[in-house]
Amino acid sequence: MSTFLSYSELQTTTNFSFLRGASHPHEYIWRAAELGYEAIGITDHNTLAGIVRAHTAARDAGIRALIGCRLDIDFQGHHTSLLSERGSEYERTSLLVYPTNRASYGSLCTLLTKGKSSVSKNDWFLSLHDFLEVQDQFVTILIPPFFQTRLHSAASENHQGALFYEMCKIVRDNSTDRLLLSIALTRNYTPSNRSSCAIAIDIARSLDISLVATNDVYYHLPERKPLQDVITCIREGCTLPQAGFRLFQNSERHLKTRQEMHRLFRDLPQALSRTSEIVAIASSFSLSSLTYTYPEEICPPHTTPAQYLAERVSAGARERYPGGVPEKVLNALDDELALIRELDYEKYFLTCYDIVAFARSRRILCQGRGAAANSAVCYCLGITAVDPQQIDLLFARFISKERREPPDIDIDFEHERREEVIQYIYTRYGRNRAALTAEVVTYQARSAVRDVGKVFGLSAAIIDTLAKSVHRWRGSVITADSLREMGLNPFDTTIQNTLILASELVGFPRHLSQHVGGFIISHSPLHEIVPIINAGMESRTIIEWDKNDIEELGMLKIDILALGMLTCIRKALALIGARRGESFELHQIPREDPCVYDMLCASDSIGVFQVESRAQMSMLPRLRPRCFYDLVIEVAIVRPGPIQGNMVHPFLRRRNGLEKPWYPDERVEQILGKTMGVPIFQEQAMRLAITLANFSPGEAEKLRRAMAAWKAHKGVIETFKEKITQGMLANGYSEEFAETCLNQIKGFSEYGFPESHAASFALLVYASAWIKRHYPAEFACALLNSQPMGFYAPAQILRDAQRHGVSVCPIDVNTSAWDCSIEYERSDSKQHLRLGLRLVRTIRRSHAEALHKSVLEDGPFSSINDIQGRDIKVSHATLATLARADAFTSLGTARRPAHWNIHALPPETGALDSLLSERDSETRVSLPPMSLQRDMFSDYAMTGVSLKAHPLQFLRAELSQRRVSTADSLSARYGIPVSTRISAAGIAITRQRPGTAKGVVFITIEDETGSINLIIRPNLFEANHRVIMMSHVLIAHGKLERVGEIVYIDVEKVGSLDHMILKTAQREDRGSLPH
Amino acid sequence: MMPLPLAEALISGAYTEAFDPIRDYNALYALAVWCRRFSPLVSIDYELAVAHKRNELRTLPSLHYGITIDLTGTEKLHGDIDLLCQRIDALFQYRARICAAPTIGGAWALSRYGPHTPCVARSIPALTEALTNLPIRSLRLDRLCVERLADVGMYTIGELLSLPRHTLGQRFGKPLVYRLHQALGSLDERLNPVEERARYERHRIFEPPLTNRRAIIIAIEALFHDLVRHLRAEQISAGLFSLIICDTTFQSICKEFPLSSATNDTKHLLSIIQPIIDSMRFCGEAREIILRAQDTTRSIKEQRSFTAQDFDASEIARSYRELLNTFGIRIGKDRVSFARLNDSYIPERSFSYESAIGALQEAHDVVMESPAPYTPRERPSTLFSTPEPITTIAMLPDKPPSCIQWRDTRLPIISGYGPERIAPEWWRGELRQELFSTRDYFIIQDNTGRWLWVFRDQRTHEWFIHGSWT
Repeated sequence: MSTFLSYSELQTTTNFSFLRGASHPHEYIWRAAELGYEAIGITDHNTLAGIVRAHTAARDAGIRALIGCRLDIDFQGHHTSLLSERGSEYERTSLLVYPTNRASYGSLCTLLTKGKSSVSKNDWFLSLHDFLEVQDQFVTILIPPFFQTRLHSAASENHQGALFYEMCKIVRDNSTDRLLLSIALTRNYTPSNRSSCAIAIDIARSLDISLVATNDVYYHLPERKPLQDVITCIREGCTLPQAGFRLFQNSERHLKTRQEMHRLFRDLPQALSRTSEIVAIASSFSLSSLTYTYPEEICPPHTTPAQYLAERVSAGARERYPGGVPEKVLNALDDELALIRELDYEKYFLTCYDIVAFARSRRILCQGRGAAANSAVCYCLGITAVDPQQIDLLFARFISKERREPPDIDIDFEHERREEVIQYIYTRYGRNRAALTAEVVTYQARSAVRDVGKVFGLSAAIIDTLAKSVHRWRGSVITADSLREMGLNPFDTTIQNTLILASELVGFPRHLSQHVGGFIISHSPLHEIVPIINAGMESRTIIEWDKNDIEELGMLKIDILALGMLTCIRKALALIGARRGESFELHQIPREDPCVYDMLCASDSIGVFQVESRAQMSMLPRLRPRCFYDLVIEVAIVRPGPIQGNMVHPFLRRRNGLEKPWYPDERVEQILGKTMGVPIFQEQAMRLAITLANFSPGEAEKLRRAMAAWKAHKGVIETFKEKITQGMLANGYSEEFAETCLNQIKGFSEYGFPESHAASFALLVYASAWIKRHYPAEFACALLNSQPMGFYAPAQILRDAQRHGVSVCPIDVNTSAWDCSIEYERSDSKQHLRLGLRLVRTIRRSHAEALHKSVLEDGPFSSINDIQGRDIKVSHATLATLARADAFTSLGTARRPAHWNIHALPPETGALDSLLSERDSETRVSLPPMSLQRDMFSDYAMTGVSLKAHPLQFLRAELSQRRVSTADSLSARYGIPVSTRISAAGIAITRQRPGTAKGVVFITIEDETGSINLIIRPNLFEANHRVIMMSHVLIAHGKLERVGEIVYIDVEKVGSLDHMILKTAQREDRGSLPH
Repeated sequence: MMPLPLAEALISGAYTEAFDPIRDYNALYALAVWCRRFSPLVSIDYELAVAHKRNELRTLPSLHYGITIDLTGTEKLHGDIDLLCQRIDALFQYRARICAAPTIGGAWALSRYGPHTPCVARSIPALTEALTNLPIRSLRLDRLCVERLADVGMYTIGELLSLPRHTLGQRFGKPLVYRLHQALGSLDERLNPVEERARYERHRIFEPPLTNRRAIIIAIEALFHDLVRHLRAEQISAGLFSLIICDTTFQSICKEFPLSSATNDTKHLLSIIQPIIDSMRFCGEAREIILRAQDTTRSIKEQRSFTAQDFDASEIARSYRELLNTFGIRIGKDRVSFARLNDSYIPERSFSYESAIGALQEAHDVVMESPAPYTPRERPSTLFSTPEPITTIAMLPDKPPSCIQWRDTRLPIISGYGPERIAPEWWRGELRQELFSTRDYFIIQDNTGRWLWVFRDQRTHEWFIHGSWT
């Protein structure tokens, strides 16, 4: 019997109608498929943000998903008699639209773009007039307003009814095809439902419009009703008891069984059969019919893209290989060009080339990263910098024929100048054709607990306690014990409900934000493909889809990313050029310089790209890189993927000759030979699957994707597991070996690096290391001028520079520019790094530059009065800031006298006052001199750097009494035996808790003699969480451990010394008292 | 500073109480009034009084919670000043920091930052000596000024005194100079003495005492008129009137008249108070009669509207208030309550009774956050306080019963609508405790034409009747 009941739900609100729908699009699709629906329509409120996910899920579930949208329409401007009578400015009503073909889909996107462009972000306005213009292209379903609007009296009900009648009439009269028009009917067990249904039926009859049955669903299962209530409260900014009638009355708004729907509408069978008719019309459009073309104007006239690309590539190849293009590269180029030709990607490559060429013309450093580095074409076009000769490229990782997915080119630009590139793209292609992709910001455990806690009316203090205890890096569930530890009752239902619903809310989209740099560029207007919305940032527009959606639909995306290290390298090269008196370029850096590797092996890598982290620094002396390819491995190996796949230790053992590499056969040796039989790169995992388990390159790429998304979709990888094991057994490998391989491949699921990407990064590692080795002053200077970036604060960068023989000169108003600079005029051979005014907190750049300009033009300042006297508008506040930063030493004025003089300056405003009271700026007073300690503290407070002293040296006397060792005394050369119990203290400079270390926290502390590494075990960390995370100065007791040159303390007890530091400061306060 | 849950986790069972600066202020004020036994001139900190007036007590540093007593000319009375300080210290049951000094500023600094307590500086030179080591902030300066002085290395008053005095004003502002001079006695400073706060009080002493009941009532009425006239002149309304009658043996009768809303309307007050006074019993003689108005607020003059409609509305609101006052005095304020609508789908929670006390201001502007989704005719005119079980003959789900049996009466049903489905408010833990489950409500009509409201419990499938229309 049930086989005859057909039904399709046409009114569904997913969670992409932010804070309205309580189910994911794929949940609807799966549920609809399970219930045997003919199709399901996705109609989010004024957005198409969720449709690609619905489309994908529907394809996998084997059900038709109709792409639609629910539009809110304003009557404004339509002066119906009723409106003027009521006198209201406008009324809002809603209707569902389903495009019927590609063109009407385009109109829908344009309509949505229009509705969102005229108003601020997250707001919406669309007039009835705009809709009527394009109405005939859609299947339109009118929604009677009383399903949503609550009524007080019969009078307003009649008014609403009349208004709806008017609306229906306008829409009907405007429509040429009666097939495309219906009125929705919903039976949802609310008190006014009966009368409003009756009115809707009346109107439908009198206007001769068909009725269509819907259930207006907001969640796929009735169990989601609590979550729907919670998000309603989040949206309305109220608590659950306050929400009242803003919540739905009952939990009927879910996907019901077909039988139930037929029972509800048993009196209106034509409304049920209407769903099938609409499905028949609307399913003539599918997202798969979206075609997309790359921009065409990138070629000069009279050349085809293919010709132009071939020409650019061969020109580039000649430039890259002045001594003749090697055979291997030529072959690769031919193969790649043929494939590009076949897949029609020339225009895409030319677009990237165009952007890179622009950056070059503006002397903006840029370099491609990621999979694109697998391409010789990209290398020749100058998009990437990895020489295909040097490493083994797997072009399939970048483009594969069977995948027919667009290649993904990511290009890094200098972080300070990326905006120039972005604005270039907007002007080159116009805002109609270029936009950033969206980033769907989803609820994380922390934000979910905060929002849900508020809805349950928990106090701010409790919410704070809960939210802070959700360790983002682990995402684990809070146990009853840890609740008790926080002082909360684990059996309290409110807290339990909060945690349950918060965990349900995790992963829900919250809003659209802009992607870091993913640009989408098209030949035809973009707003006919996807709605465009204004981004939060001024002068940016974004599309409604994120990068996965775009990838799914085969659209081109170029990532315009920002990389601080490129800025730093460019600045360093400029400084080196200035010193050498000739321009110095990146490619002029000599290759394979052994001193650079010596430096890296000693883990002297502060500031060097990528390898400056604690984990990398401890890996360097173990791996001992001696050539470029070692750097590639170094970059890739300290990643969650290889670490969790247990690849690090075997690799190190084999590399250090403690173990011989072993290969089951030649094929494996070919793939894994260069990494000693241990898979380290994604490409190797893919190759293993291809060679050993008979995967096609396309399947291997799918496997890689499954690995990347493993966390999100558990179970997907299981299907591959079967296939790999079967394939390997069939090829004659042992089950044991298959198991090992599988685990290693699985390890990549966390996060693995493609070799090409590692190679791109390794280039920057080498470049920055070379600069650091040979030009430490320039390197430190460029690092400081590119802040904020990297792991270390200016103080550490400077201390490191000083260790390398750079002399650092303090900030001074007469010599410092905005940026840090290198001084050469001194007679001695040392390099002098002059700190710039940019280090001074709260100073305005324009003020600093005005000061420096004045020094350059009119000579150095002689006094503070001189500064004030010159015609530069520098406020007293700025002068006081400079005084606090001790920037007047060249005027012979220390901090305190400088303040004394600034206070006596004539006021900036209120001239009358200055006339009346006589000012004597020249009163000589003897102010108490500042102690070194206070001087140092003030330096830190204002600039984060002090050249005068280290805070720890003031504690040293006391620390020595407590038998606390200095960093220097612990170093390997003193040969303190391993496992000796020792104590050390210092300023905490880095705290890292890598996801792979099972909760172990790595901390680096620094005292006046050097730095000490601490390892804190999870238990100790949990117990002393606050002390470890909040203290500035830590003291640690534990066992001394040593790996190679690296010394660290396995901490058993940790404490804070902040109070001691404070005490010394206070002591100094009183120190000047005449006791 | 740490969050409360953390503190409670650290010390289990810790007693905590919310910070209530107004209570602190009132207690300190009362203490200041009490201190008038030492000298007629007693004051609280000027900053404290200002903050209280501006309602900014919360942001005021606790240093300003202090009492200043002017002892000038009381030497004869108290004898040695050291002894006096010790006496005051002993009188207080809590730890106080006490200091006697020749200037207000000096006493302030020494009492807050001085090395010990009690502390006595007998002369200006002695005071100057004592101040030398104190931090600059003890001069009652704002933070900015203290910071600017710290910038040039000035931390103590002694250091400050070593600077040329004439340059201080232009560099660090006039307040610094004032405060310095005030502390050292070269600039005068005055106290703002506190006074008793029962400002709205009328009393009369009768010599010889009144014995005649009629005379007492007339005297009370005279006092009442006098007091209300005073209130009206100052535009003050009172929420509580108390009448105290003391007889010759100093025993007193005390009668309080608490009102629901503050007023100074003579006619209205008389109509409430007079009947009670008339019915009061007085025994003995009345030597002193005190009438006090408390809980005073500034009365808001309501402008009467010109349009008849609005006039009626404000008139109704006023007479409503007066009615509640009358009821409240007659039968007790806590026995008067009124019903209000709540934002809840659950019929039992869709209204509540609230005490009339203090609820009046909002009574006529109750704003529902969202309008009710049902019209009044969809809810019964009589809702039973608890649903009563019934047995039914019902055909299908979603269909009203065809016949019900209620309290032994069998009622055939001739028509019905529904269902209206109401889900429980799950966040109250009802899902777990099974107090309430989803209900399907039907509106049905029996064969006598009476409309009834019945529902079926979705979980137990039992039927109940919950209300009727009249």
